[in-house]
Amino acid sequence: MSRFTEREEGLSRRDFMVTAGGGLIALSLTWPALAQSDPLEIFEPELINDLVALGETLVPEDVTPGMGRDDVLRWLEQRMARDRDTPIWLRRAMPTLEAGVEVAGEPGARFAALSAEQRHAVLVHLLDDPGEASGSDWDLRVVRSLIEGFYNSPIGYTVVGYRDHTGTSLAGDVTSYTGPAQMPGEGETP
Amino acid sequence: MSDVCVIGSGFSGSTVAHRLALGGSRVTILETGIDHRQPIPERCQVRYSNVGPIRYMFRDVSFRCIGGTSEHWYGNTPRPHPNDLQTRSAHGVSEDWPLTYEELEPHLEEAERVLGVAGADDEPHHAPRRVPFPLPAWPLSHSDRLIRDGLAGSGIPVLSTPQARTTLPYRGRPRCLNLGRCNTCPINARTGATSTSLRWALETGRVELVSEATVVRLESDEQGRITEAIWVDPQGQSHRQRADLFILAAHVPDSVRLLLHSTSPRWPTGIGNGEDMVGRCFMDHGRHNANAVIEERTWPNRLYFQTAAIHHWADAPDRADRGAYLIEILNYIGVAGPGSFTRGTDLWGLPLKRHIRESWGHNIQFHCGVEMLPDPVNRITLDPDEVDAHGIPIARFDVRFDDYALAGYASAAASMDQIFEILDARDVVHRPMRAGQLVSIYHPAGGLRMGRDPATSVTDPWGQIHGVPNLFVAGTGLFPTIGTVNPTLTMIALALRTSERIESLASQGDL
Repeated sequence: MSRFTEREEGLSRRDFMVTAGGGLIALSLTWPALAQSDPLEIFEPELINDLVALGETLVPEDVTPGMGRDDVLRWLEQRMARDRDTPIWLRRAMPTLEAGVEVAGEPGARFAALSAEQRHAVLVHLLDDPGEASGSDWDLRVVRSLIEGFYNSPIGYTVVGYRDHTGTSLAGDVTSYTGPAQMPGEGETP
Repeated sequence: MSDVCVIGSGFSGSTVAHRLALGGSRVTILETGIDHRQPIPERCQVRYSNVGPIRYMFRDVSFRCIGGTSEHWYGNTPRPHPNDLQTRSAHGVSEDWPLTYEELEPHLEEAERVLGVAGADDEPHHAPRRVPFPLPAWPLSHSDRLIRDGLAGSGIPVLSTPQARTTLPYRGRPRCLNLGRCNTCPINARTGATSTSLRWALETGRVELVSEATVVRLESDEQGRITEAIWVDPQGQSHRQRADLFILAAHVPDSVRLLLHSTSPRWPTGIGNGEDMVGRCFMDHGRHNANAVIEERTWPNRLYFQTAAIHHWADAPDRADRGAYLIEILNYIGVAGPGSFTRGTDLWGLPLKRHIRESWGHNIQFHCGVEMLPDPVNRITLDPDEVDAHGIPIARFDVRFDDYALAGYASAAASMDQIFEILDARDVVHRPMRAGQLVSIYHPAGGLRMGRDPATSVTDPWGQIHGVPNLFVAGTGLFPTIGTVNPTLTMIALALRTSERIESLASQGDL
């Protein structure tokens, strides 16, 4: 089941946050309310779009979902729930991304406006040879925590063969734990 | 006025209350805690201090509530090994309990029926048994099976762990749904007192439960008989509960505190403390974890309780020289999630996805607790400087490891390494206790030990405090030695045995 199908079937944001564990502060929110939630009010749309494009590039879709807009917004929400300085260091980090866009030959363009290939080239430049950016807010607080947050999220668990974060997803299932599960893409070339 | 006053509503207290109520007694249970589903107030948190050479730590796994610890535990219920009760006779070390496994066995059987224990009847290495488990066993997990198969031929068997957790509906409790909140099960599939003995006690109509009732003192007469329990409510209002018989069934430090605090001309150093034994020979199982990576996928975190353990060193021939131990196999592997595999790598994009797929889910983890000797120097006393919300001195632990326990921890580490080597595991990480600490896995025991000799014990072999005909102890405080297995089943068996003794004495007019 893809994550988009789950949403169509009515997986509520409450369910999503409960399974996510750390995001309990947002229990009262629902999916439809997400678009109006704090991140969009605090950050200008261009910055959100750049972060979403960054997430999509850091964790691209293959046989399992990649990081999407909702994952990025949830990450932002969780970060801000436990760290009120998030907007400060996030804004401090983003110029690194903006500077990297020049590598794509599109000076002045937003990262989100680049093609997938161009975005990938920008991140190869910034992440594989980070230079001064290594250990910075950009490197650790944005890139690494975006990645780790995704893989620890319910959707992230699908990468390793689980329907989502265990605990609630296995409710009612007291037999399958005795055998192996199926790793998505095992034996395939993503 | 009641026939019986029980202090503490956990498994021990409610078991005795239920049994005596079935016999016609009117019982009042005084419980200091509240419903654990409510926010736990500060006065229900456990406060204590340390004065010994090591720091004993158990605050994080304990709070006071209706049902006591039975409302927040993991449900492992193996029987004791017969030699756990006979280490002096069998190994020439420590001492024997004042009863044998054979004498305890009928009560272990009844305790299993109370809890609804799910276990495997056909495993020859477990403690001997005469009757089947009440419920079929939890099957071994995938990782249990990998370890079992990997150890095949080594002479180290992997055994199913009996669980007080339903595999089928049982006595009004539903089948486990694997909700993943296993130590505070929301549907009572994991047994607690409020879904078993306490509920049944209240259903008799002869038991009254008073919560938020903190007993601060026991009063005794000139003959040493207990006459009343003084308790206070959250507003500090004092109350008196009179009864013919008193059962002390709080958890170990609180039961010790109450006895030591209840001084009188008859008992100048505390009730039952004429030989200065109250609080002595305190024990616990300390914690040593180790994890490693194996070639096969273990598919962890699909079950949040244990289904198997290794008992190979729980009663080994060298038990005379070092503490015995059980190695529990964890199904929750101790990694936060796939995200933890993003650390320590600069990968991103699809290479990172492939890396996580390849590396995540190969972990195995063991959890180990080691037997310590019942040493009189390890004791609980009253803190001379700090009191609780009701003005009662908090418990002060004076605990140390002896060479026997330290040798046990060294042996446990070596045994886990031996297993890892047989399994061809890599990336072995040991998580022993830090030097100077005893991190409890919440198996506090001793301090109110039973025995035949009043000079070396607090109660007689049935839990009756020496010299106090109408005061009995129920709980792990009675344990003369701690053994290797999780103590709850044995504790309930002892409570059932104590109930039987009380009924027998009462019928003869000897109480």
